[in-house]
Amino acid sequence: MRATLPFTAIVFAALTAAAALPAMNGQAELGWVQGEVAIRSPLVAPPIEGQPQARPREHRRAVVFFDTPPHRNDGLVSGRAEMRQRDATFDPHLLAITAGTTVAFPNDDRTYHNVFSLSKPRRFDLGRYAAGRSKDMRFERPGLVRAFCDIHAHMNAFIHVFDHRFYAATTERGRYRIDRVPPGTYRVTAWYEGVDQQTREVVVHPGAAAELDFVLH
Amino acid sequence: MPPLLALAAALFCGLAGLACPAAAQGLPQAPITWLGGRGFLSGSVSAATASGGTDTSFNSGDYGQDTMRLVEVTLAPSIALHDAAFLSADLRAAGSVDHSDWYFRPARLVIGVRPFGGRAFSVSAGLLQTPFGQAGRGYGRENLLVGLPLIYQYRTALQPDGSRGPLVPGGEDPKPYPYSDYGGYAAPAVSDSYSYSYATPGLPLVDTRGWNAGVRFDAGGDRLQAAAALVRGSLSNPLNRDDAAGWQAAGRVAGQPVVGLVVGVSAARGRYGRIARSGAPLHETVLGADVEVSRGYWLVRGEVVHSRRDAAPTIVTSPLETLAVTGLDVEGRYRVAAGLYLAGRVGRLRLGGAGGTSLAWDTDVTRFEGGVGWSLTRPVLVKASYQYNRRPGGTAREQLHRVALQALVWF
Ligand SMILES: [Cu+2]
Repeated sequence: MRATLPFTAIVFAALTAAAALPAMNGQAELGWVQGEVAIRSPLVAPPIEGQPQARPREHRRAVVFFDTPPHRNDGLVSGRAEMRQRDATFDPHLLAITAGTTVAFPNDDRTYHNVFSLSKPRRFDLGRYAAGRSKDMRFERPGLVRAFCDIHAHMNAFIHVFDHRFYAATTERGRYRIDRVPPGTYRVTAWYEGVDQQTREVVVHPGAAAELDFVLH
Repeated sequence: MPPLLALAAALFCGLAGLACPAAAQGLPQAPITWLGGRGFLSGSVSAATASGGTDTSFNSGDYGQDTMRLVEVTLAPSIALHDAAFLSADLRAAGSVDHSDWYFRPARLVIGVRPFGGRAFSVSAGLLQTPFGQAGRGYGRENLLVGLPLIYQYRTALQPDGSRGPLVPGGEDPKPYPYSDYGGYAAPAVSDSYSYSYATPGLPLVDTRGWNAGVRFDAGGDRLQAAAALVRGSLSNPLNRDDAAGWQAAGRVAGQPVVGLVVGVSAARGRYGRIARSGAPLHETVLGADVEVSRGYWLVRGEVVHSRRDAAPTIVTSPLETLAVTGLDVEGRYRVAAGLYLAGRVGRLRLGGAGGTSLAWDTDVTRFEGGVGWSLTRPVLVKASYQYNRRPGGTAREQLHRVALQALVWF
C-alpha cells in the first residue's frame, strides 16, 4: 500500500506535465516582431476644396505586414471593423483587416457622405447617406482598397485586406507588434499612405521579440 | 501645350486607364500635397469631341469655340500662408479640337484671409468667380454630361454693345467670335476699331468661366452659407481690362434645411457694356433660384435664372429697351454601379421681349442631353452623350442632334 501513494503521485505528475507540455511548448515556440515605423515627413489631410487652411494634423498611420507569412487563411477571425466619416475625413484613415471582415461606415457629420471604391479587390458604392446612419461592406478578397467620397473630393482612405493574420497598423507613436509568429526568417514590409514602403528581412526566435524598425518617406 | 497634344495626352491617359488599371492606379488619387502640407494641388485634363462638325451656334463657348469639341487643362494650386491667410488659384487653358487657338484664363487667382480662423468667414480678393447659382456644375467632372447647361453656356443674340444679332431664319452658322487676347469681351467703347459681326453669338445668361476682378466674402457652415462679391463687369460679361466696365454686386444664400436638400437664391446687378455710339452704360439684373436633392444613388439638380438687360433701342433716339431672358435647367444622375452612372438634362431658355416692348429679339431654345459616365478607376472618367437642340428659327440652325465623347483625367 505504501507504494501506491508515490505511484499515484507520479502518475498525476506525469499526466499534469503531459497536459501542460503542449501549451508550454506552444508558448515557447512562438515569437513576435515589434518595432517602430518612423515617418520623416508625415502627410496631412488635404483642405476642404478651395479653402486651404491649416487644419489640425490628423494622425496617419503606417501598416506593417509579412510578405511571406508562415501560413495563410489559417485561424483568421473575420470580425467587424469600423471607419467613421467625421469632419469630412475618414477616421481612421487606414484600416488593416483580415479577409471576410465586415466594415461599418457610420456618418457622424451633419452633411451627406458617400463611400465608394473602384479598387480591384472590392468595387462598391454605398450611395449617399445621412448623419447617424451607417452602411456595411464585407471585404472578401485580399489586397489594397482605396475608399473615397464622391461629394468631397479630398476624402480618401485605405483599407488593407490580408489573407493572413501577420500584420499590424502602427499606434499614434508609430509602434507596432505582430504576435504569435512561428520561428523562422520572414520578409516584412512597412507601408505608408502609398507614398513609401520598405521591405526588410527578420529572423524570429522562439519565445523572443524580434526588433524591426523602419524609416519611411 | 497645343490642343492636339493635350487631346492626345487626355485620350492616352483615358485609354491607358481603361486598358491598364495598374497604370491608372499610378495616377494621383487625391490632391497632391506640398510645402509640408501647407500647399495642395489638384487639376485635370479633358478632351471632348462630338459629331456634326464645329457647332458655334448652340454650343458656342468662351471664345466662340465649340464646347463639345474642346480640350481643357486645369490646375488649382492653393497655399495656406498662415492659419488665417491663403493663396488660391484655378488656372484654366482651353483649346479647340478644330483649330489651333489656345486660350488661358485664371478662373480664380486670389489672396484670402480668415480673420476669425476656422471656416466660418473669409474674405478673398483678386480674380474670382461671381457667387451665383450652381455655377460649379458646368465644369469638368462636376458636369454630368459633355454639353453644358444652357444657362451657363448658350449665347444669346445680345451683343456687349447692347445691339442684337439679326434674326436670320435658317441662315448660315455664325463664324466663331472674333476674339483676341483680351481677358473678356471688350465693349466697343474701348476701341472704335473693334467691330462686331452681328451674326455671331452674343452674351450668355451667366458666364461663370470668366474672370472678375474684385472682392468676395464667404460665410457660413454646414446648414447655411452666404457669399457676396463686388467685382468688375457683370454676370454675363465678366470684364477686367476694360475701363468701360462698371462694378457688379452679387450674392448668394444657400441653406440645407434637411440633409440631402440644398436650396439657394442668388442675385446680381452690374454693368455689362456700353452703347457704342452714345457711351450710355448698359446694366443687367439677374435673379436665380436653385435646388439640389440627393439620396442614395440619386442626384437631381434644378435651377431657374431670370435676367433683365438694357439693350440699345432700335431707333437711336428712343430710350433703352429691356430684354428679358428666363432659363431653366434640370439634371439628374443615377449611379447604376460603382463607377457607372446615367445622367440626363433638360434645359430651356425663353428669350422674350420685356419692358413694354413685345419685340422678339431672339428665339427660345430647348435642349435635351442624355448620357453615361464611366470610371474604371477614380481619376479617369469617360462620358458619352447624345444632345438634341431645338430653336424655331433665329440666327442659325433650327435643330441639331449630336453625339459626344469626353475623356477626363483628374486628381
Ligand atoms: Cu464626404
